[in-house]
Amino acid sequence: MNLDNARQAFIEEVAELLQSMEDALLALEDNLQDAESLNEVFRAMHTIKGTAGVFGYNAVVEFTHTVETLMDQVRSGQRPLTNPLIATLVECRDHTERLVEFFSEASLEGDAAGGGALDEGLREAGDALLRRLGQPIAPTESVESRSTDRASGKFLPVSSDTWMITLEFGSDAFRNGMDPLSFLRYLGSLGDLVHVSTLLRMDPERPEAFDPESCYLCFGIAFRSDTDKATIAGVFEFAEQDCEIRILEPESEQAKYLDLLGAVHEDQVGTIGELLVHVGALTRRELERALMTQEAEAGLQSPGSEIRRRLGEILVAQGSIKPSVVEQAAKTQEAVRVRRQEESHFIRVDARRLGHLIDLVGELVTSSAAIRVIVNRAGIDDASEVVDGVDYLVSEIRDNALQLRMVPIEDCLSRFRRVVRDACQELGKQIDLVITGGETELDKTVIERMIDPLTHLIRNAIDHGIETPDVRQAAGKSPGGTLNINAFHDSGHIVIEIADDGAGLDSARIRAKAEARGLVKPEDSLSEEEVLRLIFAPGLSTKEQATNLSGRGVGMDVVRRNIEELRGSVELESELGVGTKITIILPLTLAIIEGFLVASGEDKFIIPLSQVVECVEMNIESTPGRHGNGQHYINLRGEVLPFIRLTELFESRENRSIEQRESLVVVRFGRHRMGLVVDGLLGELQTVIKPLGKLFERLHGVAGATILGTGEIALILDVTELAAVDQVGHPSTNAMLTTH
Amino acid sequence: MAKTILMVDDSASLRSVVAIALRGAGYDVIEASDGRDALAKLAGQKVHLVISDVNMPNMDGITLVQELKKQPSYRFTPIMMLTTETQPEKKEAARAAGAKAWLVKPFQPPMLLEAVSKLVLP
Amino acid sequence: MNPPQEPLEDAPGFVFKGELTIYTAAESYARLQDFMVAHHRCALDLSAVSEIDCAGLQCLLRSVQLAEREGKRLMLAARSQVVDEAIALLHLGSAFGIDASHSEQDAS
Repeated sequence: MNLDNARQAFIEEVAELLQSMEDALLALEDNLQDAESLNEVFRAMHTIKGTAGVFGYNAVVEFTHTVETLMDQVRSGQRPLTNPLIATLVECRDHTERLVEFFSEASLEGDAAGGGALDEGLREAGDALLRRLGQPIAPTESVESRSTDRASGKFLPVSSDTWMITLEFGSDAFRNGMDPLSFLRYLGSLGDLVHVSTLLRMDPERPEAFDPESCYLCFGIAFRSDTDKATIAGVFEFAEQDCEIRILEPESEQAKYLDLLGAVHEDQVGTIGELLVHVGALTRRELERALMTQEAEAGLQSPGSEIRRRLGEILVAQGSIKPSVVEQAAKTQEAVRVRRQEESHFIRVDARRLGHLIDLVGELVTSSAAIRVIVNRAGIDDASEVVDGVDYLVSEIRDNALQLRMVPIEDCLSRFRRVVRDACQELGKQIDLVITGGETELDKTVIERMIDPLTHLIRNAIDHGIETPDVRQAAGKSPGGTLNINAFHDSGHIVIEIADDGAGLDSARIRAKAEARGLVKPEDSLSEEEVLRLIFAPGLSTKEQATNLSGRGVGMDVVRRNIEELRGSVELESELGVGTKITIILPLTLAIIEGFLVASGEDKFIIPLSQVVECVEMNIESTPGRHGNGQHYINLRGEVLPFIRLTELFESRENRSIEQRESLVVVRFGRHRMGLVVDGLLGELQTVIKPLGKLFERLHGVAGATILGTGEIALILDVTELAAVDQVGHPSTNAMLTTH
Repeated sequence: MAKTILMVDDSASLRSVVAIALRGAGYDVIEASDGRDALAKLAGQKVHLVISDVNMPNMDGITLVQELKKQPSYRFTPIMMLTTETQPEKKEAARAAGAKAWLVKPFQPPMLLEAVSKLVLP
Repeated sequence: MNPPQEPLEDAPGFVFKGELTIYTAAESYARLQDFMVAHHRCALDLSAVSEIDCAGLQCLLRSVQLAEREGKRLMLAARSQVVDEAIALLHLGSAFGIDASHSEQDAS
């Protein structure tokens, strides 16, 4: 993985974390006591902060740090969680997204450092947010400030004198992985090791006492460097537990410190200790040790100075607070850990790899069909059995491979909570979003391509469908509207319903508008449903003025086209004043389907098996009728069924003999049924969908093509489109093949 | 002979940035996504330093430290934990398990390299 | 202060190879001690030592310390570059009877 890939991975990680943060925030809006969600928000900020650091995205680190700190206060009960605070946190989430976007774009443009100047507007926006959170804007301990402290040299200048350092390593140092050699080597990189005396604290007279794994070494080092005390102490920071470290300043300096300390009043010693730490004379650790000693002394000579006792009390108090803090933190960490473990049942796989696997499985399906054909032709019974076994395995592999790409639709639908929430605020509406069937699984590639159309439909429902509270109340409805999204499986398809209890569609207005646009003629007789479907026609928008939300230049025709590109269909029900329901029916996957192979004239066609209801022999006596506009009808057990003769549709054969036996395949799409008249039924077939080339992409009624085991090509029929072509248009094949 | 560092973190992006920095400084790096992955990838090969995150799926950093301390090949190997200032109790647990070095997230690669150099030079 | 140099070829050789670290310290030390029990002099060959740490150095220091107490001689006759670097860093040349200025040549 190179740095660019790492950045890309970071952006993806951030996107996921922000999504879960958003989900958690929305959950908190419903239930302010939801501790799990609270942790989730904290965790998202916390993790982003941690990773942004390595990329040097300091602004991200600072911002997320502040939010994280606030979340920590909320978690520990120091700050109450309120709805306005959640609203601000949602904006913080968005701001984080923008920051990460900013830096990822900056790094694309070659600003590899990434830590470059933050856009002024972004910074101000961030500061404003933090002010609203009531957090100090100054970054507490940013990466930047930490790393520059040392270099800036704002502390007492240290002359190039010799420091004296003594190191007494504890016996466990080696066992703890501490190698004094490493520390000295590193120290050597900061200055000059003028002299090192290495001593073995062992009694030569007692050879048996030596344990080679214990450390008996101590060092005295004369060190010459321009660096400050904190840096020198920092060299040994990891050895602190295993080493007694004493660092003596170059003499010229020490005198200064002594003077300083001598001049202070006793009361100020604690403060002065802090000061010395700041000035670079004492390390924090030394001060702590000094305070600890003070406490110990106070214990011995009890009536001693009051300050000492106070220091001691503070330390004790700190010690007594700790257990409960630890306990609380351990609990929350445990919750995070459990969650993590749940997540760990998953493996991340590059989507392209899966795509490749599915392509290969597709080839395998085709090859296996080819073997089947050859074996049948050769008439080898033994081989036939083996082929049956292979077929079974191939279909299992296919199903499993496709299953890999299945993800719960919830992942896609949950984002709409946010869409709805924001829209409500903007439009002053009250809308309750109810999602059911979120666990329904669907091919990830289908889901991704459904996001835009779904967003549009949902925005439409919010914007045009559900009325404002006063309008609703005037109409005798509850002030709050409901938007239902329901997903479920239905015979090899997934159905997504978007239903609102809003104003519904006014079919009269749609009709009027369609006539005005010349989409229908005034004399055309259209059913209520056909009129409603007109909103899917290009260039028809129901609202005079497109709003900020739905009016993004994307019409319902684009929604329909997006869905149809996925071999799906969309239906519409609406009742004026009661509501609108849009039903989207999608295939589960884009790659492979169970098909039903039929012959028509010279050609072979595949009908998606999931849409086949039944096959009946075409009975000449049932005398198919013909409607005025050229549509065929047949009486099937008393039901009038429109049908299409494929040979006519595709002009696949002119000289048809009357005696030719025909079959009727009854198919369904949505709530409709129709018949397809074919010459022969060739059976079920696993069908790998090959997209048609550019030349044929406008070919209506055909979803794709597949290669049969014999090497022949069969077209895959799109039943819904066929019906539309036959109804709305005219059964002329020429019309179907026009390339716009 | 280049020194080998085992880098364990469940964030692929963080891990790879760290690995890039370490390799740039002349170390060999073995990357692992969690404790279990780390133990599998080590499989007895020599490492001079282990850098590990604390909170990870499958096996967290503290358990990893405990496991490493049990294995003859790794019981003396220095371990640096990537901790955060918000979880002092984790630091204590890691210390008890045998990790002796810490780096606080967030950090930038130069800080990491500096900390690593104190324990192992390339 | 340094003991008089004696010809190396007279001293029985003892070889450390590969790692001379905390991981091998206990075993290395025990082997060297066993060897020293049977010999009065030893020319230690560290030219094949690929890695050394303070635990390794400490074993050598202790062995030299014990040898001196018993009036024996333990010489670091040949040393790899890593060994020389470590000795130079800790200024241990004199403790091991090595003239620092010659260590580079010995190392090869």
